Amino acid sequence: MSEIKPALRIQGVSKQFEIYASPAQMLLELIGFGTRHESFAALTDINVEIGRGEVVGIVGRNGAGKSTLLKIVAGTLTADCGKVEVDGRISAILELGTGFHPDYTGRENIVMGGLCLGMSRKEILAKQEEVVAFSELGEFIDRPFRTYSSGMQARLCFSTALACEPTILIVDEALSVGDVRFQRKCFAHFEALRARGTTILLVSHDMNAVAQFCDRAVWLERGRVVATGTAKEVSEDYLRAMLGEATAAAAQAPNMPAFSQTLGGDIAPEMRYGSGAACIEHVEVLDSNGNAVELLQSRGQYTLRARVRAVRNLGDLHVGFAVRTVRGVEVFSINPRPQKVAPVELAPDEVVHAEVAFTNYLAPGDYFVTVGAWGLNDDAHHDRRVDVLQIHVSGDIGALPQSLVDLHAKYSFTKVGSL
Amino acid sequence: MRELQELLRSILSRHRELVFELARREVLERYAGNALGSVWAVLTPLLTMAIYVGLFGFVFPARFGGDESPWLAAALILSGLVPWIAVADCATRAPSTLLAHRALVRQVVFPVEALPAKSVLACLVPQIVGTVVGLTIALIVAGASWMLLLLPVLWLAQIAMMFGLMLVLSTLGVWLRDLREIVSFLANIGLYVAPILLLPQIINGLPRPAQWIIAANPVSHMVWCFQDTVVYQRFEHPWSWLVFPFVALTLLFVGAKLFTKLKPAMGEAL
Repeated sequence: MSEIKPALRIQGVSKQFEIYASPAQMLLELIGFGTRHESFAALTDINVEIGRGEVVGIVGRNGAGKSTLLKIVAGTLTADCGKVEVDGRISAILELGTGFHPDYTGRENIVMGGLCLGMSRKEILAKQEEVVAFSELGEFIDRPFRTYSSGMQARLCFSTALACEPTILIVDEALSVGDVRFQRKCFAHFEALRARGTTILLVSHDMNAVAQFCDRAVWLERGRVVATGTAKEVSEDYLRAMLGEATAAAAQAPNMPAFSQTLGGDIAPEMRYGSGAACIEHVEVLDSNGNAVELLQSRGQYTLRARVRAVRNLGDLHVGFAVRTVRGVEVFSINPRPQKVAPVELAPDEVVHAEVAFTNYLAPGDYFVTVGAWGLNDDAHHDRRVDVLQIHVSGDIGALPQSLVDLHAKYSFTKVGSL
Repeated sequence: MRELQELLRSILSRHRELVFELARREVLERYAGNALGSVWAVLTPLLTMAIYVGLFGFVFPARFGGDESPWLAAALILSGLVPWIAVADCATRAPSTLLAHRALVRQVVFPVEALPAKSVLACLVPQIVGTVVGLTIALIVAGASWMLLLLPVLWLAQIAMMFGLMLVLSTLGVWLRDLREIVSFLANIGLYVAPILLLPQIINGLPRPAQWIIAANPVSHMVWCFQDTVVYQRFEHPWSWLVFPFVALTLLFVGAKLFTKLKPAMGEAL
């Protein structure tokens, strides 16, 4: 990377925003009535160097300064100090449908979209047929944009963004929409672009996408670079930090025996309900050394444990676990019955650990654990905590990323001669 | 100064084609779905001018005993009315310019300044029509003179004022949603606090305070400059030639500063 000129060099970039209580305050300051703003450091001394053909993930929670940084890189905002050197042209995958007018045809929208991305009319017209071909829209290209399905709209936006042959492509969360086939096509195309030397900046909350697709990652937090490194390391550190925070928030929340309770923040809200006859106090995953973890490796040995306290006399306590994907697909669930484990009897204030030892055959991704406690003779749950624990599985299972489970698969070709 | 330079560089060179395309679309979209389509872009200003000139050039002066010839009055009215329509149109549209394009304002790579620029450009379309008509009448009534060479300077100053006004109002419009109503009210009133329809002998007949109010209106000075150039063909209002460019440039500077300062916060506010 040192011999060739980097595609993007960000040196000591800082950006402050002035925040005014109201526009009137700003007017007063402009006319000369003293300082009337509070400064907010959106970016502080950012130094990043990105080489040609590198794919770099930018991670960080909302408000960490990702968009500000991208805007400065793209030239739509100017930094207060520092330098941004861009060698080549920048393009960005537009948010779905923006810059695109619903009443205009696909063809006309290619022109508008291209102009928004800084291409000249001549260039766009020269590329138009290519864009049409890539978008696979066929005869639809001459129909109004509003008649397109969302997948078709996405294809057109994507194709337009690629038309200007960017040296740096910014992909800002835009891929989270659109169908899986389209997403796969996008990623396949990125691979081709990267092979040609295009630098790609991927802003995403999907750590699996970052880990799989990016070479490196930059983690921003409150306008500062917290970490840079290989995409896998950074995304795992980031996830660990996010999950740790979620756990801390849960620990601080008052221990309510029943009813519903929600946790704020970046994690999905927990839903909780039940009669209150028992209380699920704590849910955790332990690794083989007995340490609580939220980041699980594929095929590792783990134990899922719930601590349940009886509030009144319980004759036959059952505790069930379910593991679901982010989209709510139940991947695995268990309670004592299939394994003929007898329910436990508890006196008030007695505590029991319900444990499920397992080998982690989950495919990499995020999962939520739901735990319920009930008695056979009761018609309602004592306590049920939906999505109480978020876990993240990482690792390479040698399967496609949309897989849900790790089948311990082995792939092979065997020639069987000519038939 | 730096803010203004950057703005102008962006809209005049880097994103020039985008500004033109956006302006073209705005003009087309404004009348989309009408049977006559963009013919209205020409028809509306013509009709407006015809009505004002008819009423204030021919009907009223006859009643009030004006001593100017109706055609001279028409030339006077048109020379002020044409730039006024553009400025008022620009001011009225400004507060909603950014609001109407939230999606674009939030974009990572979109140059937001292209939006006020294209709105100004779109507001100039009626002026082109009006100028042709107005100049024709003025040439017949007053003849040609070297003063007409100053017209491009006046147009530049007028565009600077419109762009400044557009920047200020469109930026504030993001936060002050009532601005649109206030501005459109002021634009309605403004026509009668300027020497556009009020011909010189009417103004002379007004009480002193009313004359002061008219002189305090910056738009009045723009109108006087245009009247000097097109109709009087001498510096009848020398002060206006200082006040108008000064006001225009001040607005442009303030607008560029305000817009650049608040640009980063716009995405959130919309």
